[in-house]
Amino acid sequence: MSNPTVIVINQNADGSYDIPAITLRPAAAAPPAQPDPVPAFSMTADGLTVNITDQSVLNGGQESWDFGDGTASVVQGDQAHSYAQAGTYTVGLTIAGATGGTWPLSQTVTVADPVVPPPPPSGDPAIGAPVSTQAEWDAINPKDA
Amino acid sequence: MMFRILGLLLAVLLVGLCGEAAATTYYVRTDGGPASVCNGTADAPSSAAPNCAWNSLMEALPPNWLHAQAAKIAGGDTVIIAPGSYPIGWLAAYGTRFGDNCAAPYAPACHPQPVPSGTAGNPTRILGAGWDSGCTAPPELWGTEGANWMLSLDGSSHVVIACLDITDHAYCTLNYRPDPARTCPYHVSGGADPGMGDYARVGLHAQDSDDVTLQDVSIHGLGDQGVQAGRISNWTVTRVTVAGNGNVGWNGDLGGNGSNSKNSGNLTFTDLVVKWNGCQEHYPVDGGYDLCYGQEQGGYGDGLGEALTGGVWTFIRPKFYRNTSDGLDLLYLDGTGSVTIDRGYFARNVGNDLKTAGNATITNSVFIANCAVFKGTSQPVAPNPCRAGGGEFADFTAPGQVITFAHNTVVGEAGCLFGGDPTGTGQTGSAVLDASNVVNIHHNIFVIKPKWNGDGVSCLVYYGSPPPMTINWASNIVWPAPREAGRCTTAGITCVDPQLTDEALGTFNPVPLTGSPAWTASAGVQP
Repeated sequence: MSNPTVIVINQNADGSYDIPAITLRPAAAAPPAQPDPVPAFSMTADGLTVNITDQSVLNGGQESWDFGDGTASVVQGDQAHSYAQAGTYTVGLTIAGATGGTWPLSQTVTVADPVVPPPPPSGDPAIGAPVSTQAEWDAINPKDA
Repeated sequence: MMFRILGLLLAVLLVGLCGEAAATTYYVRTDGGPASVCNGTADAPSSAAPNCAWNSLMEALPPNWLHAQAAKIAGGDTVIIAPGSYPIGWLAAYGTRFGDNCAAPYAPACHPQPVPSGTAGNPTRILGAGWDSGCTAPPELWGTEGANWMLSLDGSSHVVIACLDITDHAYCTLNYRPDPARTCPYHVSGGADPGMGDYARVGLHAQDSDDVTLQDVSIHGLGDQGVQAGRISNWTVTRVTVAGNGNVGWNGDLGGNGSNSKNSGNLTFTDLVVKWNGCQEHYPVDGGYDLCYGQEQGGYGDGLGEALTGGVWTFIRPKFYRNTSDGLDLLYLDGTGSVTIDRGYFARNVGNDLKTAGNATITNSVFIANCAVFKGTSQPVAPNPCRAGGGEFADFTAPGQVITFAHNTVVGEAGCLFGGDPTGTGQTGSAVLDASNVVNIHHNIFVIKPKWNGDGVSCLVYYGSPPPMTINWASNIVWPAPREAGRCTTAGITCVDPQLTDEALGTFNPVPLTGSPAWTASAGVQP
C-alpha cells in the first residue's frame, strides 16, 4: 500500500475553511506479480565430460547445479563438467525465485570412458607389400615417379 | 727339410706381401697436369711437378685403339679422383698427347682404354675421393665429342669403380628421329674440330668382365646408353643410378649372335635406381627429362634389358620407373640361373614393369602398372602406352621351375597385372610346360583398374586357359573383380576392398588404412 496523501485545510479568520478542490482518481493498479522461473536444460556426453546447455527462463532467479557426483556449481548458464568415472549421474538444476520459492529440475546422464582410437597397427601388414606407414612410403616413392 | 719348407712358405708370404705393396695409388685433380708433367703419385697440383696429380683419367688410361699406348696404371693400382669436373673424350690438346688415337676424325674413339685387371685380393680401383666416407661430392666425368664410351671394362676383372658421376653436357639423344634438332651428331665434321658437341654415347662399357664392384655411381644423361655390359660375371652393384639416358639405361646386349652376351655367376644389385631411360635428361641438369620415345617410335627405352643370359640375378630394393619400354627385362634368361627381387618399386614403365624367365622369387614389392603414363603428354612422340600389354610378366623356360610372387601390392591398367606365356619364353624357344611348373601366388594385393585402352578392366593373372602349370593361390586380396570370370570365387582369392591410403592409379599409396583387411585375418581373408 502507498503512503496516504495528507490534505491540509486552513481555517480563515471568519471561522470559515478553505477546502481545496479535490479530484478523486481511481487507485493505481497493483504491479503484476513476477512469473515463476522455468528450469530447463539439455545434455550431451563426450567421453567422461557432459556439456549442458541451459535453456531455463530465470525470471530473476538464481541457478545452482548439482552434478550428482558430489560436486556443485552456482555458475549461471551453460555448464561443462567432467566426471572421474564412467556411470550414470543425476544432474540437478535448482532456480531460486526472486520472491522466494525454488524450482528444481533433474535429469540423468550416462558418461563413458572415452573411445580411444586403436593404435595404428604395428609391424608389416599380413597381406601385400610391407609398407606400413606414410613415412615408409615416402622413403620408397620417388618424387619424380 | 723342415727349414726348406718353412723357407718356401716364408718366400711365398713375402711375395704375396710384396705383391700387395707394389700396388700404387695415383691421383687425379683439376689442377693436376698431363702425364708428361706429373707422375700422378701425389695428391698435389701440377706446380709440384713431377710428384703431382694428373688432370684427367685419360692420362692414367690413355686411348689406345689405333696405336698401342700403355696404361699408366697397373692391375691392382688405385686412382683417386678429386671432386671437380673432368671431360672425357676428344680435346684439341689430345691430338698431340695421344697421337692418332685422338685425331679429330676419330674423336668418338678417343676415350680411356680399358681398366687393367687386378686380382681377387687386390682389385684395380677407380675411385672418387670420399668413396669411403659417404661419397658426398663425387667427381663428374662428362663425355664429349661423341665418345663411344667413357669408362671401359672390356676384359677387365677384379675392378672396383666407386663414387663417380658419369654424364655428358648435352641435351640430345642419338638417332632421335622425332626431332632432328635434338639428335646427337652421328658423324664427325671432317674439320679440325670433330663438331660432335659435348655428348657421349655410352657411360660404361663392359664385356668379358668378372668380379666387379660398382658402388655409388650415377650414370645419367648419355646420348645413347648408360651402361652396355655383356658377358659379365659376378658383378656387385650397390647404390647405382642409371637415369635419363636417351635410348636405354642398362643394355646387356652386345649385339652379335644370340649367345654373344651371355652373363653368368652372381649379379647382385642393391639399391639400384633405373629411371626415365628412353627420355633424355635436361642439360643443364634441372631434374627434368624429355624427348621420351619408345620402340614404336624408333627408340628402345628399356630400363635394364638383357639378351640371352644366364646368371643368378638378385635385386634388393631396386627402383625401376618411368622407362619408356620395360623396366627390368630379364625375359631372355636361359633357365640356368634365377631371379630374386625383394622390396622393389616398379612404376609407370611403358612396357612391362618386370619380365623374368625361369625360377623367380618376387616378394615384398610395389608395382604400379600405370603404363599409359605418357599418353597425352607433350613429348614430341609419346611412347606407345602399355607396350606388350604392360604389367608384370614371369615366364618359364622349362618344366620343373618355380615362380613365387608373394607379399606384393600391385595396381594397374595393364592387360593383365601378372602372368606369363603358357608355352614358355620365346627367346629360348617354346617349352612344353606341365604341372611341374609351379606358380605360387600368395599374400598379394591386386587393385584392378580400367585398361589403358578403354577395353574393360585388367585381368588379374594369365597363364593360359586353362594353364598347363600348377598355380597355387593363397591369401590374396583382389579389388574390384578382375576381367576374367570366377576369380572372386577362386580359393585363395578374396575380392574385398583392401582399404589402402590411395587406390587411384596416378596417386597410388599402398599403405593400408587402419581398418584394412590387409593387416590381419578379416573380411574373409586368411592371414
